Amino acid sequence: MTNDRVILRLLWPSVALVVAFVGLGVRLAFLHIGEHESTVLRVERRHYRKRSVIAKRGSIFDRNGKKNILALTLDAKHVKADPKVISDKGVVDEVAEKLSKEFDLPLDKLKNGLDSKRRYFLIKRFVPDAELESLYKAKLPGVHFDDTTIRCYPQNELLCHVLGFVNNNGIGSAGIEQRAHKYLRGCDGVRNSRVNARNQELYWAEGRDIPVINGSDITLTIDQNVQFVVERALDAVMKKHEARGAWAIVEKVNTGEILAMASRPAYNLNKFSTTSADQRLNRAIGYVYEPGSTFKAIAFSTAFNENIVSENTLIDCEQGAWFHQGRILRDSHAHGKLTVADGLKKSSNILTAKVAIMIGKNRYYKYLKAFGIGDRTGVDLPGEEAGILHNPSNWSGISLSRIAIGQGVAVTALQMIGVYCTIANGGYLVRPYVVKRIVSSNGEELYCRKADAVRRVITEKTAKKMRRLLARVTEDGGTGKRARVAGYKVAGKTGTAQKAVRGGYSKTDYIASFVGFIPAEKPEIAIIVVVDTPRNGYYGGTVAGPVFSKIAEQSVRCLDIMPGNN
Amino acid sequence: MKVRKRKNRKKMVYAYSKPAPFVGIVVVVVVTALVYSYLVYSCQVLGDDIKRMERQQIDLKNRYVNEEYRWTEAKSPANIDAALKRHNIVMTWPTASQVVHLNSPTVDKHNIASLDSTLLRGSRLAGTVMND
Repeated sequence: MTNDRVILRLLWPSVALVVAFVGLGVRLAFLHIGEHESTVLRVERRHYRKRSVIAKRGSIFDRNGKKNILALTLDAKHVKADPKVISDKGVVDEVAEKLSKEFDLPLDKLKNGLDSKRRYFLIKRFVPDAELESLYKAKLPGVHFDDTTIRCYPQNELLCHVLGFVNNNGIGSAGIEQRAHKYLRGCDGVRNSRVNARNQELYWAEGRDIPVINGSDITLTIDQNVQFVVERALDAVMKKHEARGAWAIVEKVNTGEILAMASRPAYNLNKFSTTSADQRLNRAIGYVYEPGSTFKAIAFSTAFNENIVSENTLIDCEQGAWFHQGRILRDSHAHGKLTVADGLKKSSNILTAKVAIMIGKNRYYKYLKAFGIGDRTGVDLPGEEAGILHNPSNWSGISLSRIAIGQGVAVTALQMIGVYCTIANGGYLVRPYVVKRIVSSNGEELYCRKADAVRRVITEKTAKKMRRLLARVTEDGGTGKRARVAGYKVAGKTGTAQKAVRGGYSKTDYIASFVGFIPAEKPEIAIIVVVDTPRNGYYGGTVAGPVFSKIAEQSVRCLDIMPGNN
Repeated sequence: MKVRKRKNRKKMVYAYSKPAPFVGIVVVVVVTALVYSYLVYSCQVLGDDIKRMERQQIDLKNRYVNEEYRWTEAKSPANIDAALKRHNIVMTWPTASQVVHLNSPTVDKHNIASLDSTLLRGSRLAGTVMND
């Protein structure tokens, strides 16, 4: 080998090396001089991944806690596709067929959507993770998944009006979901992490991490089994009497805890978007009606509490028709002279009106307000109505006699059951509630509801007397015989009210109701049943009474309530 | 006969001994580098493991919630009722005379429950819930 050749062989690599280094140097200079900040930012952006971690909405349980779940959140995905990738790979038909089979979507629509050069095509929103396993395994090209969550109600229709639902934007839009949204929603977290060239998260180079705070869990006062009993009884009465609606509440008389609250028509919480406003209305708190005879208990309680009459006071019932202030007031059955006790048992309108007149309108109004008529109860549910109770200054000459029998006044079922709870618990108006406890995701108790007595309305003596007299309503000769429960003494009152229509009262449409408590001697629970526009009978005693009986009979077993005389 | 090995006097040995501290430093640097590499590698492996387990934990949690949902759905009163109907099982509440109530301050709730269940088993009325 000559020297020249050796030199030549060394020269070329040296030149190449110098050129390479000069090139790199120039590139380095360009990177660092001039707009290098944007370059750094671009590189940083590639190396960092910012991911929001979706907070899980809290669960809702019945009064027995985690054993009975009423609402929970599942992980889900929005399934989307990149049509360009799919069509470039020529697998439009295969992907469309698979997706169509998986989600039961029309094949033609999918093919049209996927066979394009677009970069985004939404296939289906809110698909639970559990339903995507086969799709994950199939690894279809161009099909992507976006994290989300889905609110599920495993009991479907059960307790729909109390639970409410969460809309597609994750906002509670009815019931507890709406009222307790701030507790349930939680707070999304953020994860800033560093990734390698293959977009894999690097554990050792993890960046900022704002932890996710999951929503708090809520325990209700509702008993799932009692709720089911109530709902089934309402379904049966709706079917039997072809009613327009029916609603019922079961409440603990001493604490105001609502054990069941149901309204018909109902809807499936998992398909809330397909329901009408009428189905979504919680009639137990959001529908006002003239209560009819169930309202008489207030006039009698007032009269006893003010010592205006005794239970043995005789009052003339005018043989069923009484001309007062230019208008006739009738009883459904003609009676002569009746004691006040019998007047309540037989639900005499004339006797009750006369008692109310003896009380006087101002005093009677004071008691009505004390019983909570015309005011919202303050239950922890949205959409509660206050009812209608005009000021005495606006009353006409017959208002007092008509309000006493439950006409010219409108209440919600929750207000009405409140009146009977007051009588049952010895005279205290208690505030009803549904939310018992709220516990944060880290186990901290945020809220624990205790019984809240609003005021004393009547004395213990009056309450006791009323309990005894109301128990006679379900005895032989009373209007509420069909509300009896074998082995237990039931106290309560029937109500049959003509529905108010424009310019008067309907001749065909009634509201039938029964409200009472059990056991009469030592009340534990109060129950109200209201049936709107029943057919094949319309009396409170015959339509609502049996429903009360059915609910009470099973509720005392579910709740292990012993007969009061034991 | 013993053969004597002659030293090759022409052989040139180009070697010189390094000072001991220098060797020590080099050894320490090398060992430190090796230990560091080993630790980095171990940390990466651990990090990967943690990542994998975190993913696994999330998966298991999701599966647990899904199963919880299915289970709750399966044991909902409406489903139990439907299942009873499907199998033509008619459940009845015990009559008032069949119900035994114990009401004594000396008997605690726990004992009542066990006694009740014993009685129910005896009268073949166990598990009567939510029926007409």
